[in-house]
Amino acid sequence: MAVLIAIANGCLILTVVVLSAYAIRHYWFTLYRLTLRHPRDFMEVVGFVTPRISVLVPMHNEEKVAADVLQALIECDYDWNKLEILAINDRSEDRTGEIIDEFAAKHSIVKAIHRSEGAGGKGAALLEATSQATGEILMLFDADYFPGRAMLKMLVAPFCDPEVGAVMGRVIPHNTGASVLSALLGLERAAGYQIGQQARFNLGVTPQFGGTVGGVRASALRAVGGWNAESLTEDTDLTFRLVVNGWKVAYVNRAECYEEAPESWQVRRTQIGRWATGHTDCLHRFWPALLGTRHLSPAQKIDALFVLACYWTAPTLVLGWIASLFLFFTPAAHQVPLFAVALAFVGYQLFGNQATFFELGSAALLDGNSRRVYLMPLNLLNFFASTGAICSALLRYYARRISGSQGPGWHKTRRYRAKGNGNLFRNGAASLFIQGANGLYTRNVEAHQP
Amino acid sequence: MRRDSIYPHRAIRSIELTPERILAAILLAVLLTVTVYAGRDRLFVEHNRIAASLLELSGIPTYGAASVEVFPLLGSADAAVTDTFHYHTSPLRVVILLVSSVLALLILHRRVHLARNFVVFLLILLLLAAGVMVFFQAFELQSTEFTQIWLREEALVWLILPWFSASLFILGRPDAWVGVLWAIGVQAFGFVWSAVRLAFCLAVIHFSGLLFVPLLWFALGLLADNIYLLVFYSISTRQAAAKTWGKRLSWQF
Repeated sequence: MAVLIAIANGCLILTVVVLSAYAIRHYWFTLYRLTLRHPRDFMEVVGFVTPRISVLVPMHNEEKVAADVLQALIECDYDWNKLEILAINDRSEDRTGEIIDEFAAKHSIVKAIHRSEGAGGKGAALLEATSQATGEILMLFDADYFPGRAMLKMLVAPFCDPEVGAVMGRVIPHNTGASVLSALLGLERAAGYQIGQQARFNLGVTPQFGGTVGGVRASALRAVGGWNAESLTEDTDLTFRLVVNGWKVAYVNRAECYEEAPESWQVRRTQIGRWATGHTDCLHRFWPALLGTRHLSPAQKIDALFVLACYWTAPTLVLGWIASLFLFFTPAAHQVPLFAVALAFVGYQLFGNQATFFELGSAALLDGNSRRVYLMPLNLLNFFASTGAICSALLRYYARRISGSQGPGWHKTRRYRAKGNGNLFRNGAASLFIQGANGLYTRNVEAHQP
Repeated sequence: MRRDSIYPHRAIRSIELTPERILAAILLAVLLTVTVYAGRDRLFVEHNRIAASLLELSGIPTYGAASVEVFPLLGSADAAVTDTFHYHTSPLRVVILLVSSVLALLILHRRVHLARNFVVFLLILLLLAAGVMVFFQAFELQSTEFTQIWLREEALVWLILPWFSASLFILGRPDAWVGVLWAIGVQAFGFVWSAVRLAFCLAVIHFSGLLFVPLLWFALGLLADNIYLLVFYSISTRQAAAKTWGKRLSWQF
C-alpha cells in the first residue's frame, strides 16, 4: 500500500508541476497582453510596395460556403493587378466545382483548379495549387471564412520585414449565437488569438501560423520543403519548419476573419481530436530540431515545446484525477503534515484552474464582449468534454504509433450555413461582419446571425 | 514612419497598469490575508455556527461540537457532530439511492452532450463510492472527519482568495476601486458559501453515508469555489467591458 500511495503522490506532483507551468505561462501572457501599450502593428508602416499575392482556397464539398468566400475575396480592396484567387475544387461531389467555374468565368482574377485524382486532404490540395501560384506571397483561407475588405492588405503588411516567413490573422466565429458550444468556442478563440497569439508575437516567441487566415512567403515555403501533405495539421507542421530554419512568424490581431465554429459536440470532438493528433505528431517530429536549432533563443525553444506539448496536458490531468481519487480513499493521505504543501496544492487548484479563465475574461474585456461572457463558467463543461476527446484521440494515436498502422484520413469539418450564393455580403448582418473586419464595430453582430 | 491614422479597431489596446494600481492590489491582498489569518478562530466559530444552524433548520439533529485540528499553523476549529448513515443499517436505501442517481445521471448524459464527460466522471465517483461502501465496510467517515477535511481545504482557500481577487478584479479592471469592492465581496461570499456547502454535504452524509461523499467532495469542494469565482469574474468582466467601450477608438492614432 505504501508503494501505491507513493506512486499516486508522484503522479499528483507530476500533474501539479506540469499544469502549474502552463498556468504560469497563461498568466504571464495575459498580464503582458493586458498591459501592452504599443503592440507591434505592421499596418503603421508606409512606403511598402505591396507584392503580388495568390490566394489559395481549398474546397471539398463546400457548396454551402464556396460562393460567399469567393465573393468576399473579390470585394477585397487589394490591387487586382497583383492578385489571383486560386479556388481549388478538391474532388467535390456537390456543386462546389460548378460555383468555382461560375466565378472564374465572371472574374478574371479567379482561377479554378479541379482535382480529381491524387492524395486527398488540404495539404495535398495546397501542394498542387502552390505549383500553379504566381504570387510572391501565398494567402490561405478556409472555405467557411469571411475575409473583410482590408484583410489582404493587413495580412500582407508584415511581409515588409524580409525575415517574416508567415503571417497569421485572427479567427472569430460568427455563429456564436447558434448554440452554447459555439458561444463557448467564441470565447475560447478570443482568448487564443487576442491574448495568446498577440502576447507571443509581442514577446518575440513564435505565434502559430494557422492555415486558415494567413499567408506564407512563397520563397520561404520552397526553402523549407513545401507543404506536408501527410500531416493532419499542415499549418503547425509548416510553422515549426519555418522557425527552425530561421524564419519569423508574425501575427496581425486586427486582421479579423470570420469562421463557422462547430455547433454540435460531435463535430467539435472530431475537430479537436484531429488537432490533438496532428499537433502531437508534430511534437514527436520537431522536438529534436527545435532544441538543436541556432535560430531560436532558449525562451523561444521552451515556448515552442509548450505549444507542441499542449495536448499532453489532458492525459496528465486525468492521471492526476486518478491519483487523487485513490488518495481520497486512503485515510493516511488526508493527514497532510505540511501546511506549505497543502497551501501549494490548493493554490495550484485555484490559480491553475483559473488561469485559462483569466485569459478568456481578459480577451472579453479587450474585445468589449457582450453578455456572452456570462457563459464563461459553462466552459468548465467544455473543458471536461475536450479533455475526454483529446485523451481518446491521443490513445488512438499512440496505439497506431506502437502498432505501426496508418494514421486516420482527413476529416472535413461540417458546415452549418444554410445556403451560399455570394449574396451574404449584401444583407445588413453580413455587411456588419465586413465592417468589423475593416475595423469598425461588430458589437451587435451576434444579434444578426446569417 | 507612421501613418496619420490606421484602421480603428473594436478592441481596446490595453489596460493601464500603473505602479499605484499594482501596489493597491498587493496591499489589499496582504490586508485581507492578514485579517483572515488573525481572525481565523472567530471565522471557524462562525463557519460552524452557520453550518450547524442550517443542519438544525433542515431537521438534522446535531450533538454539540467537537474540536478538530485544521493545521498546526491554523489551530483547531469546532465541528458540528451529526449522525452518519452506515451501509449495514439499510442496504436497501443505498441500492435505491444508487440506482436512482445513476439513472438521473444517465438521462443527463443522454440529453446534454456537452456535459457527457463530466457526467461520466460523476458516475465513476458514485460507483467507486458504492463499491467501497459494500466491499470495504470498515471504511467510515464521521461528520467531524469530513468537516476537518473540508476546513483544511477551505481555510486555505480563504487565505489564497485575496491574491486571486487582486489579480482578477483589481489588475484586470479599468476601475481599480470597484475591483477592491469586488475582492472584499467575493471574500465574504466565499466564507458564507463554504458553510452552506458544508451543511449540505453533512446532511447528505447523514442520509446516505459514504455514497455521495466523493461526488460531493469533487462537485462542491474546490470546483464549487472555482465556479463562484468564475461567475463573479464574468459579471465583473461584463461591467468592465461596458465601461471601456467608449475608449475603443482612442488608440487608432
